Amino acid sequence: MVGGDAYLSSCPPAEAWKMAAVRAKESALKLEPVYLVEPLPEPEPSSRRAWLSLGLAFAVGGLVGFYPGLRVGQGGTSGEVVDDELQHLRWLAVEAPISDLKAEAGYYLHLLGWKYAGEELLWRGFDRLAAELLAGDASRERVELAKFAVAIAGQSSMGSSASRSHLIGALRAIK
Amino acid sequence: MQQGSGELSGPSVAATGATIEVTVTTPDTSVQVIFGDAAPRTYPVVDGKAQIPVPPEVPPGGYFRVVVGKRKSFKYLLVEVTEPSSP
Repeated sequence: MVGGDAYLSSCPPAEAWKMAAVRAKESALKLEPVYLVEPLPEPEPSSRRAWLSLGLAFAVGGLVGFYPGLRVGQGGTSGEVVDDELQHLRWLAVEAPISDLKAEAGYYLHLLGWKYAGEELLWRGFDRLAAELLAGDASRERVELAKFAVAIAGQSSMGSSASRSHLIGALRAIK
Repeated sequence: MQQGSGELSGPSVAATGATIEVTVTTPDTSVQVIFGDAAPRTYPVVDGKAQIPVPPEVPPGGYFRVVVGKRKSFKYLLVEVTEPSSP
């Protein structure tokens, strides 16, 4: 731009008016950068983290609740903590094929007499095993197992109960 | 009179106060002796043999058992206790 106020004042009025108009137009069109400063938005609670926490809590809660529930559902009574050994024996007693019970007969009778003589359910396994022994063929193993069963039953009130006496008598007769 | 399989064998009767010898051919280093629901007693297996005194609390006519292994590898001996023989 040529000149300033001194130049305008030296120009003829018409020229000065034109120059002033041009200057006004230039000044009106000049773009000035405007920076708007505003505070950052308040950080919202991370929804991703919240979902992860919720999911984790659900998974942990599910595990904590599911396992004891499963154990109870598999044969335990409410509030009872059942160890793997007893769980296995209960399975052998009432669910397992007789061949599985026979395969572990010695161990089953041993634990029944030593640790679990008060477990009524396990005596049902004893009855199954006794019936199998009574129906079995003559063998040394059968004779020894029958003798073992009689000895185990004789140590327990459940084993020597009146309802089981006929079974024990029959086992005793196996020679 | 002997009883048991090749893996665990020993006498089927023993007198009160006696000590029996059982033979163990499994890799187990000990055997357990159990009477009733009492806590088991453990005896070492040395050179395939275990020396086991007859539990004094087992009366004549009663039984104790010698066991080794678990589940399908479980072996047992049922030993009947008799009166000590008079000299």
